[in-house]
Amino acid sequence: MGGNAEQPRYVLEKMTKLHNVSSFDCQNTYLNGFLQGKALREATRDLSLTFVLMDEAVSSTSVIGYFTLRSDSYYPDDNSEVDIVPVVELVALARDRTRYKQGIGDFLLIEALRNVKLVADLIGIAGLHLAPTREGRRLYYRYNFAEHPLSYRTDLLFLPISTIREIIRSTEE
Amino acid sequence: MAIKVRETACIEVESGNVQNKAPITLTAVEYAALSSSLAMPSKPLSSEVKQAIANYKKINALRVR
Repeated sequence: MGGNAEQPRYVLEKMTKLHNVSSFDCQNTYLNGFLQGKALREATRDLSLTFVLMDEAVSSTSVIGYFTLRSDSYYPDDNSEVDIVPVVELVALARDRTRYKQGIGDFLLIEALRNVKLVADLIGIAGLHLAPTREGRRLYYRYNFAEHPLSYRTDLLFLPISTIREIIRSTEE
Repeated sequence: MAIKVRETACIEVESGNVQNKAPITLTAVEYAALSSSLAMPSKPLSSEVKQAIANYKKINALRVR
């Protein structure tokens, strides 16, 4: 191993009880509360999984951003050709208010998409959906998220797996 | 805590504030619209996203999965 490799500044890993989330503030009460109250509890029960981002230049345990994914499904009515459409839900994605305009939101979203692609390559996933906050909507539209065809869930945005694969391919070129 | 097991083996926790949303059902029309969107080729990425991806590639991060 050569000794010239630069130490990574950031670390992205699964949330554990060792991570410090008490000072995290993305200026959204729900997203703060989810990270500080529910994320780890859900992860320990395998209901969802949260990845947290730390800036090693500041602290190896203080969280500056996170995202949470879980499985979800759509159930077409009885006359459809399939019984179930598997998708992933982006439950939450946020970065600390001190990290605006640093590309952290894009970084977290691309990493979340990378996880979805990994799962899709293993078991098949039709796409990703989420219910965006008002602040997050602009980020998701940039990545070609579209309004969901569901008539009764107009809050949902959807990104098909083909687009996710295209985005991840672009990161690897 | 009441737990209902669907035929598809999806478990819904009906109380306890864990996953208390209704399952998403699709009418035939909605399923057709979704299938159509899945079949369409992905739209080209905007220059803004391409720039974001370029910035993403510069971020020196250790990923532990």
